[in-house]
Amino acid sequence: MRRALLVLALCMAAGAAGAQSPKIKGGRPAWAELTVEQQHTLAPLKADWESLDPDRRRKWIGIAKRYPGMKPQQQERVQRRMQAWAQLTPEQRRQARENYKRIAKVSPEKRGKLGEQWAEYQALPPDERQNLAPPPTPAKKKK
Amino acid sequence: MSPAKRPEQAMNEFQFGDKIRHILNQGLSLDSRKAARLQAARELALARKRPEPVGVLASAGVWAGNMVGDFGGWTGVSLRLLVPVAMLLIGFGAIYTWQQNQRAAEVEEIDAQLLTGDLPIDAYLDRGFQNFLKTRAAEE
Repeated sequence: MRRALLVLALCMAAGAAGAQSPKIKGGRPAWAELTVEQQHTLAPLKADWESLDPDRRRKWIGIAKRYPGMKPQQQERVQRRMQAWAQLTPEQRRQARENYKRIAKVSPEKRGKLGEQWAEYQALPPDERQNLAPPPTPAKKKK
Repeated sequence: MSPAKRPEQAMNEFQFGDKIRHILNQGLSLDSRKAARLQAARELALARKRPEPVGVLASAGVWAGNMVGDFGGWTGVSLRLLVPVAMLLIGFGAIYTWQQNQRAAEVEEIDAQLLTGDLPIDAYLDRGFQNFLKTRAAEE
């Protein structure tokens, strides 16, 4: 009888531990807790590291783990973009991810042209570019 | 759940029940000495029980105990109620953890793509470019 309760309590404790384990596992790794390799990869984030929440730290550690498998050009891009990306507001990052997901849906053939299209867009006269992105209209003007 | 009882087993139970009914119907014939001893033993037991404090909590406990007793005691409750609840909680915990991990993995994947992709991050934040792409897609 008591054994049944004990088993039950153990099950619940194990469940609770299981639910918490990612947090404990990821914890709040301080900069000093990272491996030398991770510190080297994430060096552009060093100054901001303490301000990052645990989820974002874990994500960056995940990216640092992928880093050795990236091509040199990709590694260079990561190094260049990392800080700017981390300094965006959460809303901007969310927006960028949404747009990425939408753009990534197109065929690989079209995706290959994205770089060209970006160059083409940037070559447009400023007023034409502005026409494509009218400033956010107040609610009353919105249809 | 137990399988369906066999007919002879059911019959045995019936006969056994019948015997008990007979014995009960005969009543208990005790001589006065035995009755007096039983009475004394009962008084003694009651006297020992009386000093227990009977507060509101205790009454509630007794009431709860009686209610619980209907279900086969605390162990019965633990097995019939707590185990499914615990399983449910563990299940929800596991699903929640799994979903969080999935979401974290998805964000990591997208961020890795954004950081390494051909397009600069500005391209994904530029509403004009997003509209430019939409216009182009519509034209094609």
